[in-house]
Amino acid sequence: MAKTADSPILEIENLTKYYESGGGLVDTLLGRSQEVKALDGVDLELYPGETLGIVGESGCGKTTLARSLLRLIEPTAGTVRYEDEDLTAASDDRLRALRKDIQYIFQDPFASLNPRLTVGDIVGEPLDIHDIAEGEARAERVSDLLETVGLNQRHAHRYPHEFSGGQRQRIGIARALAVDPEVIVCDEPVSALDVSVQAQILNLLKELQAEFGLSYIVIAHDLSVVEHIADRVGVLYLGEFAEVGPTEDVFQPPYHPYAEALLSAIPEPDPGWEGDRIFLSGDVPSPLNPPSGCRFHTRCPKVIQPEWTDMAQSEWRSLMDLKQRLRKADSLEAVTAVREGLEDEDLRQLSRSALEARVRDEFGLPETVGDRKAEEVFGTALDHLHDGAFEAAWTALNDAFESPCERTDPELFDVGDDHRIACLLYDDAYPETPTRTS
Amino acid sequence: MALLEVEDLTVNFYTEEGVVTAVDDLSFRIERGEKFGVVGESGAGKSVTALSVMRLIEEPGRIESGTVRFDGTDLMEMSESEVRDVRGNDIAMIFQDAQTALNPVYTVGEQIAEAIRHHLDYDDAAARDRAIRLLDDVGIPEPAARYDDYPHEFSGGMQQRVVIAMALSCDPDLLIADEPTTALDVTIEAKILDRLERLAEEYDTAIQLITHDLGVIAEMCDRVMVMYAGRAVEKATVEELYYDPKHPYTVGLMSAIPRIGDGQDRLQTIPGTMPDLVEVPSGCSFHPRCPFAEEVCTRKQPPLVDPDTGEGVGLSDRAAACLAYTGDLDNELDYEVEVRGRAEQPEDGQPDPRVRRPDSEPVRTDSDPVGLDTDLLDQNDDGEDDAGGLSDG
Repeated sequence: MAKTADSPILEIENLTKYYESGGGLVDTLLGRSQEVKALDGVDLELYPGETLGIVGESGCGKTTLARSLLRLIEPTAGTVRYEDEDLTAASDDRLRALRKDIQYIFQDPFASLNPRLTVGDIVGEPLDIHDIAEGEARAERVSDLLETVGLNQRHAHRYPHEFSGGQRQRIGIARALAVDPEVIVCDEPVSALDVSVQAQILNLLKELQAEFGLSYIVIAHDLSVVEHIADRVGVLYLGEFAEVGPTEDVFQPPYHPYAEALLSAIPEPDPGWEGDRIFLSGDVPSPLNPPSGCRFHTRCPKVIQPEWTDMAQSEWRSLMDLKQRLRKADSLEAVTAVREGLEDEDLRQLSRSALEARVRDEFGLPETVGDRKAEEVFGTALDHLHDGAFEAAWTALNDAFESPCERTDPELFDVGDDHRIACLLYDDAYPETPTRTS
Repeated sequence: MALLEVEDLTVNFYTEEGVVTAVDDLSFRIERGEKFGVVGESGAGKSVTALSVMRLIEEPGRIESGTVRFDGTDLMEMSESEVRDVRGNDIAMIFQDAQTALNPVYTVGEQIAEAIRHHLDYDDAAARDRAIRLLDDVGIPEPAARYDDYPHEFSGGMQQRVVIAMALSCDPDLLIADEPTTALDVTIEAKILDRLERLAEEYDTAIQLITHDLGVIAEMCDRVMVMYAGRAVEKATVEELYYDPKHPYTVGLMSAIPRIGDGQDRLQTIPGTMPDLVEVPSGCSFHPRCPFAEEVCTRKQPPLVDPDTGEGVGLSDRAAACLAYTGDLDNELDYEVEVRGRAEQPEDGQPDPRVRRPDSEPVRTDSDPVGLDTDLLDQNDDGEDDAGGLSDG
């Protein structure tokens, strides 16, 4: 179902969740504890009857988003409006009543069902809690629900362990449907299932949506699953949206560089496929201390060059990698390539030209960088390195090579109908950046 | 002579519920330097096959029969200490969960160096040097500095790289990788597969890649074996398998994957789930889920035959286990495999980075191979079948 002109059924504004990290009591008393910024000011709307997909790598805040919007964990800040009522301000009683309308399906069908209850009681429990049905009516409702999700009413007397993964996920869905909800948040609903069963569950979710007019928020790490089920998609990176838009638009250019890399990385079930993979440097950085500016700049293949430079984008990326590495480095091992058969070598004894070759080797830099001024800066940094002055080397690089992406945290720019990308490449203030054309 | 020849391997597990035949009369071979994929859903017997090759089956499991010839020598006949020399040295293994494969109280470098000292008789300094070199090979930045880190200081992707470095440390001829990237994000998965492929080439190592992900197989492998309920149901080269699948289960698997850009609203499904191996259905074990099943399928177990000639195939390349190829079925398998043209260009004219070759559009089946009635499932009244009938509306 496509997005309609209706007002949103769920409106999330500036939703934020920081976890306290590390440190025991002493650290807390001394104010030394740190915050993990799992979710940092996320806005989104869910319209009636639509499916909103949320994708991203692990550690990007997908599950935190799902749980904090339902207040399964308390958000640090932000509002969640459901039909003009703020969930984050609701009392416990009111929240419990509101959960009749917003339900949750968990990732792990093995952990989310109470093993000591029969399937009938698992599905019937929400009916008891919300005083919806009793006795005969309850039994009837339970068997209706089981049939709706493709199970047999005979199954009501069995225990969860008697069922396969796919069937358990169906039980979880029946439980969510029991209270006749408007919105269901599905956290990785099929990631624990085999391919053939995964397809069954995805189809079931679609059928139920058509039948009951449900709205879904579907969290998934698998982009092909999201492409199939979602009307709109949000791509999360380190607790912020990198791209939001209708599914077809997100899966086509123009891309956020992160979304593009995610897409290119999916293994294509076709041996003749010859697309180019985009390899991102490094892992997702720690949310304890997220990178400044655009959070993706430490890995972004399209990170913007300063105005004065003119070199191949891959060389620029390599120089940025060198700079990032130097920030924490205190030994030459950290910035040089490994050579075999030289176990006891002392890198400090290397000649400057030998050191230079090893550094270029480690970062895949050519013999001379395409930009003359940049090459000079690189030379200066190497002089410092050769003298063992790591901080001076870093300062030399940092002063000269500063990407706008490090300074400016991009807002979500409109790039199409309801399609927004948080990347400076789409900011009109940077019209002639070299990466824009590449 | 192939590097690895497995013949008539049968593995049973003696559980409280009864005897489970996890691998049933399985035969396959892997050539030197080849990348061989084993694909199937959970319970198909993929991992048990891999463990049997390493002779790592433990109680209550038992290898009942069969030969596993590695380089011409039968591993089943070897003494325990001889097998231990083969493990790590000639055959190495990577598991899905890197965290449990690494010892948390040793540094990652030491764990790699230990294997090198043990198998290759290097002294401490040489082992350390080789370990650092390996860490660099698998793409760990600052390998000399990270040598002294403990496993918990590495991310999941980095841990898996360490496991790969460890597996490659003794230059094995065969690397068995059991779902090596399943627990990782796609961006990390792509990097690790790429690295694994390059290293296998460099070290001239054959890979047996076990996975449930047909995308990973398509990317990495030369030949594939599809397993179902402990048996091989189809063997083929990747191209044959993806463009011309011969077994209804393979066809079902192919059409159940959500593919980006196929514009399909509904996914085709295979009704039901993999059977419980305590009670494998009679005849062809796939018959309760097969849209083409006939009465004979419930009685007669299909042999692996060449789909063109219907004759037995031994260890050869192309085979499918379906009665359609032995002349036992009244009707034909009437799925059609359609190789469509290239996906349409995005309208704004920008090149799509996921460009396909014109002749390589994914296999598609014309008829719905899963229009199975629920009644067929209900005859199996124990509730173990996922009631997939509903999802084929």
